[in-house]
Amino acid sequence: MRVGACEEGRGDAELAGLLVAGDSGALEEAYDRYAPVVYGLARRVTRDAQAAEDVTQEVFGRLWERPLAFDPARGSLRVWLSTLAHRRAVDWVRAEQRRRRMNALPDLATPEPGVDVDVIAADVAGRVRRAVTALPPDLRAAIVLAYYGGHTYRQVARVLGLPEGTAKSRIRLGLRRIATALEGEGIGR
Amino acid sequence: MTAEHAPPRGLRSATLAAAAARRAPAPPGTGPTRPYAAVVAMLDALLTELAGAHWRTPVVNGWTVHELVAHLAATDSLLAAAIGAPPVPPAPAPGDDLDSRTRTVLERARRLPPERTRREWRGQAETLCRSVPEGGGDDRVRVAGWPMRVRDHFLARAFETWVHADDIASATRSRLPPPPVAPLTAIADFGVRSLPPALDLCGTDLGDSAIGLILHGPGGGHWVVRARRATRIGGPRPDGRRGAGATAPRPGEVAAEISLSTLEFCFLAGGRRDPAAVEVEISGEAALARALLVAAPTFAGP
Repeated sequence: MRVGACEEGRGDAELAGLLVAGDSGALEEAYDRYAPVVYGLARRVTRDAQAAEDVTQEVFGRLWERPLAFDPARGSLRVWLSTLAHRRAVDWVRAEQRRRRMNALPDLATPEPGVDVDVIAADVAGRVRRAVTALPPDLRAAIVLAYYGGHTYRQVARVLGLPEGTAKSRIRLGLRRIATALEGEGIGR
Repeated sequence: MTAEHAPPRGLRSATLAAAAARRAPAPPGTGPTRPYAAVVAMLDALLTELAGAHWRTPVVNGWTVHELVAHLAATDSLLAAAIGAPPVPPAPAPGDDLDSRTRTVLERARRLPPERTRREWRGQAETLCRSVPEGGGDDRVRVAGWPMRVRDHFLARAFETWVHADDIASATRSRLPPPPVAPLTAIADFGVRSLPPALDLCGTDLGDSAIGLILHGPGGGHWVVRARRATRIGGPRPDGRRGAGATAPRPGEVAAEISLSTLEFCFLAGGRRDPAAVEVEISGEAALARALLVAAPTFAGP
C-alpha cells in the first residue's frame, strides 16, 4: 500500500472498490473526507460561491458516475479530486472571462492570490501574474490597464497614447500569450 | 484553508442527489442478494468505462462483450423464473436448460443494440434483488439443474458475474479492482462450500480425512473441507452470524493443508487459473491437496 493511503482510516483503494461496487455510503465518505478540499479549491480559483458549489457537484458526480476513472495505483484520491476540481474551476473562470469580455471588458475576476497549502497548490493567480510579468512591456501595460486597472480599450488607448485599434490588438495579443503560457503549465484542457 | 471556504451545509445532499441521478447505486435488496448486487454494479461501471467501444471485442467462449452480457442475463433469467420474478425476455419461458436459454437470449440480443441488452440485464438484476424478502433466501429451488438454497443461487450468480466482468476487463485491457471485502467474503465462502461436491464429482473420496484450507488477504478465512461439507473454523462469516456449530478438526484428521490468496482461490474456482500453476502453499499429503485444487473449478462455467 502506498504512503498516505491509510492515514485517514479506510484506504483509497478500498474506498474506490466500494464506489465501483455502487456503494453510495462510499460516496458519502468520499464527500465528507474531500469536499472541504474540493470546494475550497474551487472557491479560491473561481472566487464565486455558486461556481464552487457547481464544481463540487460536478467533481463528486463524476467520481460516482465513472469510479474506474480513478486508479488508486497512480495517485491518491485527494490529488485526483483536486486536479479535477482545479480543471473544472479554471474552465469556469475562462468561460466567465469570455462572457465578461463580450460585455465590453469590465474589470476581470482574476483569481485570488493563492496561499495554498494543498497538495496541488492551485495558485492560478500567481501563474497568471507570472505570465503577465513575462509579457513584453507594451503588451503588459495594455493588459494591466485593461484587466487590473479595469479600463476599457478606449481608456487604455488614451492613457498609452495609442490609436484605439492598436490598444485593442495589444490587449488581444497579450491575452493570447497568457493563455499559451498557462496551457504550457498544464492549466489548459 | 479558511473557514469562509468551507462547503455550505446544503451542498452535501445536493451533491449526493445529483450524483445518484448520474448513476444508480447497486441494486437495493436484502442480505442474500447484496454480493450479487455489488458485482452487478461493478460490471455496469466497467461497461460505462468502455463507453460502447468494445461491444464487439471477443472475450470468452467465442462470445463478444455484448454476447457475454446477454449470456449473463440468460442465466439470471433462469433464477428469476425459479423464484417467481419476471424473466427477461418473458417469452418463451426460460425453462431450466441453460444452453437453450442462452441460445434464445443471444439470438434476440444480436438483433438489438448492445445498450439495450445491458439495460435489460441490469433491469432484471434489479428485479431479482427486490425478489428476496428480508429473512428469505433459504428455500431450495432448482436452477439449470442444480437444487440449492436461493441465497446460494445468488452467490453463484455473483461468482459468475464477477468472473465474466474480470474476463471483460482482461479482454479490453481495462482495470477492474477486486470486489469489496463483504461480497468477496461471501463469494469465496460459496466457492469453498462447493468443494466437497466438486471432489465427489471428480471421484476423490476424502474418507475420514479432511483438508485444511486457508485463504489469506481480504475476504479470506480458515476452513476444514470434509467429504460431506466444508466448515469455516476461522475468519468472519459472510452472513455476520456467530460461528455456531463450527467443528474443530480432530487430532490427525487434517491430512493436508492448503494456503493461497482469496482472490487466487476465486479465480481457480472460477476456472481462470491452472490448478497446476496456481500460487499455493501445501503441507501434508500433497496428492490430496492437488486433488482438491484440480476439483476446485468443477462448477466453473465458460
